[in-house]
Amino acid sequence: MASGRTIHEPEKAGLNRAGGSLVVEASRGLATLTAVAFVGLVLGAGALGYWIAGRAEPAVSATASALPAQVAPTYAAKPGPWGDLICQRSIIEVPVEYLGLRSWENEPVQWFFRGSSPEALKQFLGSLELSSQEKDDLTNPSRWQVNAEGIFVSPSLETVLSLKTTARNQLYLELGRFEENVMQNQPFHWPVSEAKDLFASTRVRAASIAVFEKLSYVRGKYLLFSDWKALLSALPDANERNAVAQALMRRFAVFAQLRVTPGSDVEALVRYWGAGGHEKDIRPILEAAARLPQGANVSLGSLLPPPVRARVYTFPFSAPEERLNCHWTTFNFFNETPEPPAGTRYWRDKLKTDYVAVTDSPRYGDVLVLLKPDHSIVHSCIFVADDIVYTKNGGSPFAPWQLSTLADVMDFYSWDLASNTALKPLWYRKRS
Amino acid sequence: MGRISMQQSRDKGQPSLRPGALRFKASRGMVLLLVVLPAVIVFGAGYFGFWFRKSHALAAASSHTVAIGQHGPGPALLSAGPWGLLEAQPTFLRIPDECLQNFKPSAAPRWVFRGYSTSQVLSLFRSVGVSADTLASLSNPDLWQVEEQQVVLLPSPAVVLGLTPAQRGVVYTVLAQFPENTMQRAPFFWRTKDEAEWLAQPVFTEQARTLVRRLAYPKGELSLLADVELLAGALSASGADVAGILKELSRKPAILPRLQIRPDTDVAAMMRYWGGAGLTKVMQPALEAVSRIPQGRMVSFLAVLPPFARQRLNTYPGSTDDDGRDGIWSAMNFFADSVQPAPVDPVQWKNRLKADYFPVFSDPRYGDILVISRPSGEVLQAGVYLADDLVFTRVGTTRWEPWTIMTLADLTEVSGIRALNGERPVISYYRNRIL
Repeated sequence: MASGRTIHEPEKAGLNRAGGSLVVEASRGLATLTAVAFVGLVLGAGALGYWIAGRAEPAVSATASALPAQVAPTYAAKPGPWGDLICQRSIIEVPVEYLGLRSWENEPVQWFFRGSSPEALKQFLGSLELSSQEKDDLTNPSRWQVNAEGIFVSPSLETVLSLKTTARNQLYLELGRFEENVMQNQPFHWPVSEAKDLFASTRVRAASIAVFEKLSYVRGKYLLFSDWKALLSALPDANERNAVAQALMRRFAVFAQLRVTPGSDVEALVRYWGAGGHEKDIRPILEAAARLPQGANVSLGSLLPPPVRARVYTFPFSAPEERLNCHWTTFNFFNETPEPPAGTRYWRDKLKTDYVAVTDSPRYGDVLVLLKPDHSIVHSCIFVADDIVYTKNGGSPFAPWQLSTLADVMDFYSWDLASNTALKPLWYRKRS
Repeated sequence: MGRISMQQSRDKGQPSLRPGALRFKASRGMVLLLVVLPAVIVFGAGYFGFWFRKSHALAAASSHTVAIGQHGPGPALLSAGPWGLLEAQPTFLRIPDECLQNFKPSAAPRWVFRGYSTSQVLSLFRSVGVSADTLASLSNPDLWQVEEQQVVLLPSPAVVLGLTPAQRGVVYTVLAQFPENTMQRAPFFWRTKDEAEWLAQPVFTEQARTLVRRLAYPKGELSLLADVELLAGALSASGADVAGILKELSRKPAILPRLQIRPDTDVAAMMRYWGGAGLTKVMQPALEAVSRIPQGRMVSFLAVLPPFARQRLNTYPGSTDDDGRDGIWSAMNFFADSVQPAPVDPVQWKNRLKADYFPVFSDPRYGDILVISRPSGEVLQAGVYLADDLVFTRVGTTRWEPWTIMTLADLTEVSGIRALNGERPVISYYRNRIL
């Protein structure tokens, strides 16, 4: 690169003095290099434009989020009268603007010991592995409200946060016996095997996860968590509280599509998916898909009864007392106009009068009832296909209507079973 | 213009700083050009790269190519926009068998002429050149019901069958102006140039083909057929598969759109487009869940529709012959939590449109009400704008009409069925003041 290039006035170089032209002198190497650089610049500009166009594509974020390990790849359901189903399992989350954490922050922490006397409670607390500060706090008379039915204890948040895992587990086992202690009676729970991925692909900070780990406790095969208020109080800001709440309320959901091709037996599919008198609502889309030369994947959501289509993968966002729970969801599956919410006794009576036990394989629309070993009904949902059910796991407004695997539902409702027991599934079919 | 010359410095003995170097000599204008031109070329290359990706990767198969009877077999990627990546599968919907179960082929035609007198109707028939025999048979008073501000004609099958396509076209376009004539208002239709291929399907017997051709009438590039009862009645005695023929005749163009959701999809950005009217809570959880699936997924369009449309999309109303739930009713209830009774009173509709909406002259967005009207302002069709050129609508009020997604081009063409000679439909958009 020793040879340079000069641009000089012709007058000075003695060239073309009359014309006022410029003379450029360069070595062959430099001239070649300049030409190559120019071509490179042109190509580079083209590539840059291509890249910018890609960045400007709508509604596609620049950064792909990391993906949770629990999310399974696409899999095919077992063959059956439901046709060829392509399934995917993912995680569904409550939108952050509907968490309503502010109202929770004002809820007092209160434990109720039904039927306990002050002496018995002191004796119980004394049996726990508590620090002297915790013991002083929990036995402080100003934190007790004694009435005829038992004793309310209002512990300080410091005490709730500082409890050791063993003490917390024993204490909450006792509290969980009483329905008044909602969070101990129905704690958040996850199979221990899945708990390690609870915060995968979330924006929750490590410090917050550490607080959660301190407050959670293991019972059997499940990780349990009850101290919502204490956890929220230990988090630095609203963003972090929202992120943690979203992570803890995540549920597994199944998304499925029916593969329909010109070779599909549309009549058989209409018979299966049109149960409950909904043949007319699903036949047009199935027939249209089957007439396409390449076929089409029909979303399972669009095969559900119309009112269910509107509801699936959504949250009720209504007051919990409305009791839009599993039973309401199950027994209204085929109803054009849903029955109002009712107590478990009402739905149990309905099961007896309007349904018969299924002795053959379950089919679309059948009711699945899960019984505890004491024969109490813990859950009901609707059989959809293969191992897919339509369910709402609980009456909480943070529980979505969704498709789920039966295994996930069984897991969800097995957390408080003794180790040598299991839920008993029973299938029922509407008499009509 | 300037001139450039190149020399080897030693050839001509010109003074040179470096022997053997290349010497370029150019005028000042040429030098200026040589500076500007490379910059333009570089900029042009960048723009070309940008254009190439936009046009080839996203809009190569725009839905604008989709029209009645011109549907390609495969899905097309729609134009890029704030709605995300949308794929549209053109197809046809046909009435489900279940909605045909109580269909009565024997029902006699009943034509309502609002604002007409008997003599005006007879003049209409005379003006289109019906035969003297037909005119004579129409003068039978038993065929007429004279009511306040309208007359009803109960034509015999012979009269109906005796009309030529051109005569039928004129008379039925008049009938299509009045909502009582539901089948003339929303007839079966197909693209005329496709007729031979379409009627060649095995379900059509030779008698059926003949009858269909006899009862069809032209409107623009479409062929229409309104005399469904007459057709079914005539075919039922022949042993033909009447239900199968009616089903095929009932086919309506429809689009099955799907959203492409990938792990890198910006769901929040999509929600800014789709999540109006408080629908974020309905849509966001599912879309976010799908965006977590490593492989991504094509998502049913139900995911971005409000409950009203989710329940009705690609379904038929049932065995009804006039439920009043047309595109106007569907548009007014699109975002409603509780559905209003049908039909929508035209005056009430206009008042509500004035009170709750404002006109939008360009760049429609999701939820805008699309109105296709006559130049006089009378509404021909209505629907809800979705994205690109997709519209949610229902084009009639009979059992034959599904709630569906159509292209704007198809809906505009269908709205022309009611257009009088020379009328060009006017397309307007209205946006809710609150949304």
